[in-house]
Amino acid sequence: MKLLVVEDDQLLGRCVVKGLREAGYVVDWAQSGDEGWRLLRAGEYDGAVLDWMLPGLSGVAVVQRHRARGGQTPILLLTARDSTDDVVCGLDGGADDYLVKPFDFGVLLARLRSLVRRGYGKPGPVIRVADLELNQPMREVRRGGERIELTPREYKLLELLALRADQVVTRTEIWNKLYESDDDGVSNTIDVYISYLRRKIDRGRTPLIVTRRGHGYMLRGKPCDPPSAHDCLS
Amino acid sequence: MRPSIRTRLLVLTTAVISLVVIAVAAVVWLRMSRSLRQRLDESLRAQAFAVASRLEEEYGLVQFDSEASEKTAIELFGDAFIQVLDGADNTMYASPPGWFERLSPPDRSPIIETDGVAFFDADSSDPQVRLRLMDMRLTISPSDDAKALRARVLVARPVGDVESTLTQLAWTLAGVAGVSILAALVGGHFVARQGVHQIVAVAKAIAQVAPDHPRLEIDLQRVPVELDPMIEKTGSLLCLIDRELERQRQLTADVAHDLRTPVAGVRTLLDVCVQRDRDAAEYVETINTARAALRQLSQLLDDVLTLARLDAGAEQPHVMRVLIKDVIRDATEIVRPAAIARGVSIECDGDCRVCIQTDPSKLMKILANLLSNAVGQSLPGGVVHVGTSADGNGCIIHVRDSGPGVPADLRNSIFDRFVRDDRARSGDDGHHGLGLPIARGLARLLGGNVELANTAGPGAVFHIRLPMQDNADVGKET
Repeated sequence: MKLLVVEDDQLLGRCVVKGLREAGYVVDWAQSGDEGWRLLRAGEYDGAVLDWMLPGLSGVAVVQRHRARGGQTPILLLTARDSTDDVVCGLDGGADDYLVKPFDFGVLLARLRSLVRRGYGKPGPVIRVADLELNQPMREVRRGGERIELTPREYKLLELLALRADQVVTRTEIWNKLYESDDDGVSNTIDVYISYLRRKIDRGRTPLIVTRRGHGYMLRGKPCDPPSAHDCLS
Repeated sequence: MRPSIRTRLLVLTTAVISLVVIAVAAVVWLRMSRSLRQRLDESLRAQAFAVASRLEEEYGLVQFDSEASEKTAIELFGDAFIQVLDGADNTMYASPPGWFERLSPPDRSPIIETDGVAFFDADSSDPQVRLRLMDMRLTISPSDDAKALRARVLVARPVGDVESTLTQLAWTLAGVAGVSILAALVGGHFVARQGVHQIVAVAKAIAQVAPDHPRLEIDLQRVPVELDPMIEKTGSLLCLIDRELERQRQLTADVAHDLRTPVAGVRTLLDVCVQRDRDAAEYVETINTARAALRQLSQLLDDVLTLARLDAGAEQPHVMRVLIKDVIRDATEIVRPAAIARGVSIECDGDCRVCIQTDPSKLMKILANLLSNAVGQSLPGGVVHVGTSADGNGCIIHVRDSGPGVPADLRNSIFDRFVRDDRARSGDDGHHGLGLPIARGLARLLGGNVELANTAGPGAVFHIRLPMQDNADVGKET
């Protein structure tokens, strides 16, 4: 999952970015409203954390511009302004959520999980695809009730596929959302992780992870149609 | 009971109208009564003259004591009572006979008495009949040269008609007055309501002013001109309050932002740190970061508190003899680490051997703030100049940086709180835009000021003006 953090305070920005990265997110950090607006317009983020008072464009102005362009990215305003008017102004400006500084980092993480899920149209904390269950708050994966241990990176990959269940997720997209831009990887890194996942999730069961050759991968919730049966075998 | 304009207007209007009506009624009644009685007296007099002329026919020439000229024979009226007495008050003639014996004698003084003619109000033995009595004295001089004879003619008429007419008139007038007073009450109520209507509207508008956004919303065309001074004053006061509230809100928001952000930073730092197990080096780094952030935070708190104390007038100068050179040296020492880090040098122009009476620690704080700003604004390799000049009135310490100068749009607001020139600064250097307001506040406390000098060319120049003597103390003594 890829997030954008726009925060001009060095310490807070650094800590939030570090905490989010440790929680498994890929994070871009902008330190001014203008830079934030440029990144938000260009990149496909699963969520954005915006400070209100920023050098250049204010956080609310960024939200308004983004929404005016039809941007769907879920946005959480992080701000020191706590009056009722400010909250109303922020939410009416197009923000999805509002958190007043100082805040509990656990709360920020929970709100971001919720925002990202909603962005994918999955409001519940437990994502179900066929008999596969992802419990987001617990970071727990079960298939047919049986618990499966995953590494953080495998979990993030599976989470992305589950959120986009029954849709093809391209390799580029997976790379963008799971790896920092300065990560150096080999071209088949993703294929390797997909094969790890298959081993843990699909071995000995009806396969859920489907390869669409030349396109990407898909986590299939509905039964296969006969014509595309060969996909299931790959 | 508290005064009410409406009640006052109602009572006053009603009272004034009632008094006028009652006075008019009383005047009408009195005039009417006088005129009726006069007419009664005229008829009595006419009858008396008629009697006298009869006497003249019988006894010869009648000489009146009065100077009344005419002695016209007039028919006697049927309802009059007439008695003629001779000089010894023996009845010579009475009509109807014997009636006057029943009349209670008029022992009162006469109501009107002129030229031997007196009028009385008399009661008869019949309690229903009240009378008007005329007593006329005259002298009869018989033609046969007999001795002249003095006589009295008494004529009386009942006044019942006149009195009943007057009573009727009084009742009519009282009725009219009563109706008029009722009408005055209704009218007074209307006048009072109309009179206070506009005032009530204005009072309501003022009462409805919201406490958080005080603004007077009122249509001036509908306000009575008498209230203009009040409306103007209220409007301008509310405007002032609104501006001050807005300023306070902005200040509070700025303080909140500048306090909450570093607190949020430290909290997130620690929250993230305990999210998982880390090695010792990472813990040490976290603790050091937190300490540095808390140091900055407490610096900001000090600044905010200093400003609050300046606002509240709680700061007091401790005045002593101060050599400016020493203060510049101390302030430079405080700023030096930051200057070295930025590659900026601080140079003192001249020997600055001026001596003044002031508070050294506050002056040092002012100077340190200005120097710190100057260092922050100067580009690496730049020089900050500090120097002193003095004249009879006081001394000026100037601080010149080698930065881009204060931009035109900030010149007027650079001394406002939380206003910063961020162009040359990195985003997070612990400056919150409180340095200049504190410097100016402290300088004013010392009887001087801090100003931005109008200079051409690059680099901003700030002047600290200070009095030679402590003006505050001089002011207290005089």
